Amino acid sequence: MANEPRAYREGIAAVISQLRPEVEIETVEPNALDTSIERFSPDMVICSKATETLKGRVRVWVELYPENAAWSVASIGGRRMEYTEIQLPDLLSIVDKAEELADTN
Amino acid sequence: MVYGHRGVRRVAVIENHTTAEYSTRILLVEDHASFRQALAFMFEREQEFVVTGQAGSLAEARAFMSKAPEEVDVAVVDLALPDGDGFELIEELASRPDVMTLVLSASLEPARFARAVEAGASGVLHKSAAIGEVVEAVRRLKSGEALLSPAEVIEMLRMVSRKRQEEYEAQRAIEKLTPREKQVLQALGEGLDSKDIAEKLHITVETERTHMVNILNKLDVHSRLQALVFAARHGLVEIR
Repeated sequence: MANEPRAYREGIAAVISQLRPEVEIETVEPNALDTSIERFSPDMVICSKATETLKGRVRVWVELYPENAAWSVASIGGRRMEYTEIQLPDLLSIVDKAEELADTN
Repeated sequence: MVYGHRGVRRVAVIENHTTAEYSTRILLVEDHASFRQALAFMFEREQEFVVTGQAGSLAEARAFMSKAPEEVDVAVVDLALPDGDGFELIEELASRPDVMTLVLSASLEPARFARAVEAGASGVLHKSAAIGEVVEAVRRLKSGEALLSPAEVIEMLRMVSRKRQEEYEAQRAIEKLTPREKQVLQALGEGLDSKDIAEKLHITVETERTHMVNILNKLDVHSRLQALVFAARHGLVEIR
């Protein structure tokens, strides 16, 4: 989790952690996104701005409310999806897909 | 969409009679649905809170308040909503003595927080706060604790007053501009220099400069750039 503002990052991380206890979550500051990808090799990232490192190295990612916009974008195994109003169940569903993709590897 | 609110929790207490002990009932007004739902989850996992309503816009919040006004103790309100600023809603909520409002905003403008306090918000928090701070702020509000010191409230009200005075003076300055001077400003906003403005308005460069000197005097600024910033800030020109 590298999205901002902090309340979003921590709130959404807490929900995923509670509802998907098998998932290991790291929350980092947005400016530490690339170095954190190098360090943790995450199966999924939620951030506010997708970087080239993210796009090149992480199979599942969500750009959540970039620049405080209403919309969000997800990339799941190279498939791009746009959400005009992403819901918490959408995020959980993407987490599940990331788990499935990680398990198949 | 307004989400259904569930019943108020009642907690049985010892002794032979039962006393109804109410949870703090929360209305969340936030257009980023995934965050609003996460925030609802965070409150709901604390026994003392119940989220009675969720709204993604001013219209939804108003619909909820007209339908179930007695179902809210604390409203957590974002300022930037798809159908307008949250200030009017805060004023409406402040007219109900039993409802307190906590503003939770991503805005970095202190003046917006100040305006929220003037409208009647009991507390203001930036979204860069930890999620635990948000929950704690609601807890403190409900227990009667002030989130802002009197000095902070006074400073915020002063800020609003200063802003309002500046706006008033700006409007008075704008009223002094002639239609021609407004055209010169608009041309400046299009990125034209003195010569191009003169050409566009079919006037001489000297006349354009006279207009500009008059504009600077009326707006009480010292350069073309400052005049442009002033005009853009007050909606006098559209920057393309």
